[in-house]
Amino acid sequence: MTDLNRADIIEMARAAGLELDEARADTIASRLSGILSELDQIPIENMMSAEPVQIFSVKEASDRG
Amino acid sequence: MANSDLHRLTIAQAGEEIKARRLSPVELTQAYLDRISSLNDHLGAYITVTGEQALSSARKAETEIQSGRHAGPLHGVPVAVKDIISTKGVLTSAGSKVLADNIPDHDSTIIERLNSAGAPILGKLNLSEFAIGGTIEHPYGTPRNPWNTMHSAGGSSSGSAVATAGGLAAGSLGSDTGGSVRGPSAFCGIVGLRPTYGRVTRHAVVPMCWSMDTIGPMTRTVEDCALMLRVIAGHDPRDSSTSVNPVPDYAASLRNAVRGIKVGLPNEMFDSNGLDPQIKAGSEKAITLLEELGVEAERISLPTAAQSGAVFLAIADVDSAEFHSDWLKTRGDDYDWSTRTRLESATLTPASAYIRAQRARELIRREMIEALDRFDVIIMPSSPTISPTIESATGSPGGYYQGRLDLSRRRYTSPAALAGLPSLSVPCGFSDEGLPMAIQIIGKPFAEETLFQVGHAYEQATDWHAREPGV
Repeated sequence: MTDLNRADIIEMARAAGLELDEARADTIASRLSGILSELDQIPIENMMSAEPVQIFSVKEASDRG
Repeated sequence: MANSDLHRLTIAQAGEEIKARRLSPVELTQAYLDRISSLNDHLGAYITVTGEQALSSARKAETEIQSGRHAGPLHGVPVAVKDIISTKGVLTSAGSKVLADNIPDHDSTIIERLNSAGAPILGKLNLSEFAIGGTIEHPYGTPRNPWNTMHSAGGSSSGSAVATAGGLAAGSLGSDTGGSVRGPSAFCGIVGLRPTYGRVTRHAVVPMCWSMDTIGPMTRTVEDCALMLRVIAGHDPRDSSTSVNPVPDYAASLRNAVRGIKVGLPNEMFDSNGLDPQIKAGSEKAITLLEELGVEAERISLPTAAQSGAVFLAIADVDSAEFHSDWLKTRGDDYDWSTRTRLESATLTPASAYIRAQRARELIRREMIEALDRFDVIIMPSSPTISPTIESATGSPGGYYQGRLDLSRRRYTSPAALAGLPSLSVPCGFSDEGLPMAIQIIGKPFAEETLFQVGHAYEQATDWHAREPGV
């Protein structure tokens, strides 16, 4: 889902309760596609070794520092 | 020294003069207010100037010092804060029309700490709307780079950088979620610190991203940065993310030699196509100088860091969009076009992408921590580009805050943010056009002392900090 277009964005926005004009929809499509495409470049096998971090652990940082 | 030259004193110098009763805090504060009065309309540094409050605080400081009660190096030295830090009875706009009537009924802990240190607060500083970069039209005036007022001061702590570089405050506070202290500091030729996540309280500060927001000092020298951090750092029961680690005397670390300090230089940052050749040359020259001072530098690889810009945006912007969700629906037209578009884009980010970014964040954090197990610090450019013109430095389509350029420049500031690490931006020269360039020194969690040690040693071996913009 990395090549989003204006129609995709307008449909998603409608579901989220947002009203977008075409200029904003185009900008959002380009911006979001860019981010998703960059995320896709991270090898999936590396990604699977990491659990998602929700928040940085200060305690761990303190222990290490 | 003539009153018109008092703004040239560093915090450390002014503090010494005040302590020795050779300089009046009232005189110093008035000198800054005079300078703000003559320059702020042009530079756009301040949203609100709190002149009467600052003078009252300066008078109090003067009386206390004359009675032998000296509170420390900031006592009587005027500073200013980014306008996301809540101030009792004073507009806290976050640079947005949305909060144009927001007058808090309490001070943030940061303000209480500055008050306890006896620092007069000159006012509230301009910023990118809600500390989100790329504002096209700043509702409270456009911040201008004091080195060339046609150029951008960076974002989001633009007013903090302009005030400090332009001599409109002795030092300032900014916030750094993904580079908002380091970017403007680099563009405006000053020192800026992103502290370790949890080192400085964020109580009563308008949030952008809860797991990455930090408040940091922006000053003209590394020593001043160390002095300001000591005042604002430390546990705060009103911010559960703050650490109980003791706050060291950061300025004491400045005297330590850097011989034997191990420095990692990431290939992904020094060999990137997006790195301006002048910044590459300036950064490499800085490394050579540090090697002459005794550090041991070595190239390293941080493979996932190349994608850190996208990882940062997928997390921070989504967090921010959640905070703004009600206002986006009810007051969308009060936002700048770029802020609104960026937040709406984040609202539509698939949940799977958010989780994927959180996984990638963990990979980047591991890479950084593992590198810092082998090296004392990591050094890289603070920004891959020199300050662009104001016209191009926006989040409008094709602007500096859009597309691949945005992702590529963010890779320099995002790794430290994603890993919660401290990072100090220090000037490393000027471009052919006379605009500042900078390196950043990233350290282990809570190892700000090492950053100050390395930054100070480099700074003292150069004269970049002694140069002044011609405003």
